[in-house]
Amino acid sequence: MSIKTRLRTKSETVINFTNRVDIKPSHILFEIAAKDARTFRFRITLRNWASLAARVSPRYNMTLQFERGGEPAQRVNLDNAERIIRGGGTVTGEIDGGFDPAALGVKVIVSDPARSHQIVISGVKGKPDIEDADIPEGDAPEPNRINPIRKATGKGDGLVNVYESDDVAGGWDLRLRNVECPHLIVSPAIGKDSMVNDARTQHLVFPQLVRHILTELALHHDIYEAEPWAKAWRKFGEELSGIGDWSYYMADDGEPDVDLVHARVRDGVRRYCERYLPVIDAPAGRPNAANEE
Amino acid sequence: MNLKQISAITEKGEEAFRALVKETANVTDPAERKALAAAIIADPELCVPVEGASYIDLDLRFETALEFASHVHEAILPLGTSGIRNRGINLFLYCAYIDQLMKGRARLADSYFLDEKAKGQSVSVIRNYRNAVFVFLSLYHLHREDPVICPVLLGQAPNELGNALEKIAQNNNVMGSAAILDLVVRMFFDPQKGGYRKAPRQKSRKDKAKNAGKALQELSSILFSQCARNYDIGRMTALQMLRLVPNTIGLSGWKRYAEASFASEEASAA
Repeated sequence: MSIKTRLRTKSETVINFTNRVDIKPSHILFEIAAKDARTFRFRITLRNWASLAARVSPRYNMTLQFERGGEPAQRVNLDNAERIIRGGGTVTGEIDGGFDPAALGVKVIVSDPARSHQIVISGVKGKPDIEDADIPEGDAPEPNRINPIRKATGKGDGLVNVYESDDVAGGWDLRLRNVECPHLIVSPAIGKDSMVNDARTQHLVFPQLVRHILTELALHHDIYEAEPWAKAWRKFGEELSGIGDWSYYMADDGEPDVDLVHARVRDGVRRYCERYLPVIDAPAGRPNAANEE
Repeated sequence: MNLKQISAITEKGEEAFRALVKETANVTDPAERKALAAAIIADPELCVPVEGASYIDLDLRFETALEFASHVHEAILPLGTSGIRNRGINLFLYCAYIDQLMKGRARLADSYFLDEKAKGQSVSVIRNYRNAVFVFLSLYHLHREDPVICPVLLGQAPNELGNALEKIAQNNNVMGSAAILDLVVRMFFDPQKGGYRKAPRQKSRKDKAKNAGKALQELSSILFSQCARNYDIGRMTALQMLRLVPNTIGLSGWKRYAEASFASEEASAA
């Protein structure tokens, strides 16, 4: 059987030449509502965002193309597809309306501008799931209910387990020895709920946590070698290194160099914050005094 | 000067318009329909003004579709794009300039009603791209800032769509993207004269040159059925797309036109 026919036969394995990921229509939730006579509000949710997260990089763009027979397509260009997908895969916005939305389809495209906008992820939904959805007004972001560290691998238990306990020195503490994966112990004063759901608490704790574990692994590899979690964290560290290799955190001669490790881990933590932490603003009503002076 | 506020044809008016098209489907002089259309506009039961819209001059006649679109677009703009998509307003504009917009032989009546599902061979689909007023106004609305696209594509008389414009309007991807239109204009249209370019000379006698319409068809099937599967066409620039299009027998000659156009632009910029 020639390659050509093999590709045509549905029962055979088809080679994916393009590495493009296609989202099933059932994984796209397309809701639309008439805001007024001229405008529609839409909300699109990628239900399988968690499995897409590993495929996106910060430079990718997202395009929503709204199509209706015999009319110019309406395009909504969004930057930073990664932030949208890692943030729960939901996009809301407005498009021109004034017609029956039943025949309106949407195409979701994630493309890479560095490769002539080659498509990385795509999905098509032929018609809306809900035509009179209740889509909230205003651009206030929805509360983020993701724990960026636990979702980092996209499967399994994740990289850190969070526990609430009285037996803790300070607001939070880490337990790294003799555990299946690092334990983040949270004092009741902060609470596990706040650690898992509150973006501000995450901003305060998670970068320190990543910094601590990466530094420990880089400086005292022999101590942690036998720990079951060390492999997964090294892999995570490689992902954050920017070069995809653990040697980034080590000195050239293999000897531990504390200053170098600290500087390199600092870069890794910065990448972690860019990729995994939700975007937040300063708390309202508390101007930054330092800037005013 | 005979100013009239942008109005919308009512349901009853639609029936009257359908009857008009059927009655005068084939006339020697398009102006014969003028009196009938004027009667529809004048009847307050058939045609009602749209609140918020501005005025057009019923006495005006246009040399090019661009003049028509810019005059009407200004009056319709307060309504936003829903004004362009509004079936009643669309029919009103047909009535207002019927002697210029329709040719002696009218199209099938369905073509004049936006969002009407016209029956094809086996399926019925919306064919709004056959509606000249809708196409002129959408193209103008989307690309009026562009110095090249509108003057070239709307450079001819404002009557039923020529082959070229209808082919472009058929594909909603082409209409929506300035970069694709830019490439199409560079490859197939003569910026000085407007309209299609002459078919390029082929390198060998064996290869038969495709005319612009057929080549445009080939280009859009390559871009939208092959390239669009793997590239986000709407975000690409005209030059990126040109590089993506293969040198097929039908297209290589036309591609040379676009390459020359890019080269001369680069030379003048340097």
